[in-house]
Amino acid sequence: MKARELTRAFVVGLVICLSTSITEAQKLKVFISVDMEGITGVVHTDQTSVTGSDYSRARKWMTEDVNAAILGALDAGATEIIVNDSHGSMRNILLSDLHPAASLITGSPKPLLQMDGIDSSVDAVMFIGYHPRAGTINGILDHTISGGIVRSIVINGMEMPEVGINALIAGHYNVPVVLVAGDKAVCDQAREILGNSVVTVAVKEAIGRYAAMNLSLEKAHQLIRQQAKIALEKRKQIQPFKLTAPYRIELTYHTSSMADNGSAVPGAKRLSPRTVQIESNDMITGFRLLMLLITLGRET
Amino acid sequence: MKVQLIRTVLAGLLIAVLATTTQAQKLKVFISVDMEGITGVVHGEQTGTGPEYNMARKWMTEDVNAAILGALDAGATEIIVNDSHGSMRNVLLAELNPAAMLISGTPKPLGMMQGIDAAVDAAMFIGYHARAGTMDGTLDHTISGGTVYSAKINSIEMPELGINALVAGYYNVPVVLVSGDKAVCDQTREVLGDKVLTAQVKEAIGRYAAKNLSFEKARQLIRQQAKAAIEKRKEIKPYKLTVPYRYELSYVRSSQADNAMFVPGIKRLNARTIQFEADDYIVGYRLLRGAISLGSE
Repeated sequence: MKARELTRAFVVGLVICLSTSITEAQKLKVFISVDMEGITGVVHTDQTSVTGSDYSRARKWMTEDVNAAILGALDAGATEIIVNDSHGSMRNILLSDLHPAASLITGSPKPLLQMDGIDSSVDAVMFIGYHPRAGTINGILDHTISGGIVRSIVINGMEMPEVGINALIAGHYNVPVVLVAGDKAVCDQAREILGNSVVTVAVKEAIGRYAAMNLSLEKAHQLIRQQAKIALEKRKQIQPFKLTAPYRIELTYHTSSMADNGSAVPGAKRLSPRTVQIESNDMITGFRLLMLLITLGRET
Repeated sequence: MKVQLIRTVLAGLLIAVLATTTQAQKLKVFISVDMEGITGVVHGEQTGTGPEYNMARKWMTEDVNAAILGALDAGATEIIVNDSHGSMRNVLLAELNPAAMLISGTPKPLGMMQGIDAAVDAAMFIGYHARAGTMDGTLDHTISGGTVYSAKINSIEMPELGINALVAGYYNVPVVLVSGDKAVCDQTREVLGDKVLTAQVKEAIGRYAAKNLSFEKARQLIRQQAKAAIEKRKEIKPYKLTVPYRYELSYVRSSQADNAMFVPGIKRLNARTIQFEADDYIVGYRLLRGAISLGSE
């Protein structure tokens, strides 16, 4: 009696265990941060600005580029997809046109800004529609977070595009960035900063700052979908992006008055008339201080 | 015969003496007047089309009037004022000291230095400001705040006073006085040396605030320093660098550098920086201003 019951209990337990691990193996949580300057077809603020004459058209392109990434994620077996609208007002993506498999984080401000929604349960991160850092030759609308305020952001000696800053946030949660899509320049910078195992998708090649040769929408979407699937499938081979503490963040502003305001932050050091430095042993705290420095740089 | 000879010699001598005396009385002074360094000015609403602009134009005219009085005190016989700010139609001609002539408007070939030539004995810069990226400098910028991050000539990071002093130096004219805030006075000494006089009318607190002298005190100071500066003009050397002149211009955005690259002979050092050379300073100076115009988006 006892032995049979024991065996039965054991078998039941085994079955439960197996089904749990199969279910767990099926869980794949993907986080997608989508910006606008790197979207297929976008070359000018007429398209990326809420008051721009072509904005409503570009919002559709943005929604379609990220839909392609969502399809690729589903192809790779994603079970949960979070999209973070990461551009400007952060209310660009058309929820009614977004693939229904995804949830949308929309609006601003939010504590982790473009990376809000990330946590250690996320398996992989993708950056769609991203752009190169301020001061890039042949980069569409090149800037770093705020074009009117920031001349450059250097973290532990590396001049960072948003790709790098946001990848460090993902890295804080031990999550790898597996894909970056945008123009050729941001793809080059993604490899420069994150290394060669990250998958990149060049949907266009910039000619100066306000012109580009674009793939057709169909080709771009095919490419994004295909590369997203590949990137997610190789996620375990891609390291989360990390630097070593202490994180030394150097922000160079356009004008001395912005730096005057930024240097009000406790612990901030004024390295030169236009450069302020802050340090932190925690990447998230450092990021939030960086955002504070940028916000303080706003001039009325 | 002998009497005729003596008379001729005496006449010649008289003419020579008269000529020399007249020449000794000639004193031509050139004044370039900008606006950010004027007494009382601290904000773009005063220097551009803002509600306080008309008031600030009066202040600008009065600061330069003080310099004109100082020049007259020193014996100036010809005074040219070049309106050197923005639209270059700021100085109120109706209120300008009638001893001076006014160069008004833009564009003009020599820009802020239009009116300079080899006949000028001394140049003064009134209402000037510190270069882009100066701590505690009122409205610090170099030529165009939205376009220029920095401008270097022969590796020296130049404020406008340096760029313009080199134009004066091209014509062998010394810059004898610079007036403005404490920061531009410091940069005057740094770039032009200690012999050039300065008139500090205010001390900046950040970029948009300053402690100003009263108008009376500021104008007394400008007048007094202008007189002293012109009197010691022969001790002040014209500002010159050595050929070839190497101009390095760092823009705010990469697209501005893209535009400049249409000009033959311009080299791109990086996304936002261009460089070019010239053996003639004026040629390089005009190309520098052109490259900045090309950068306006």
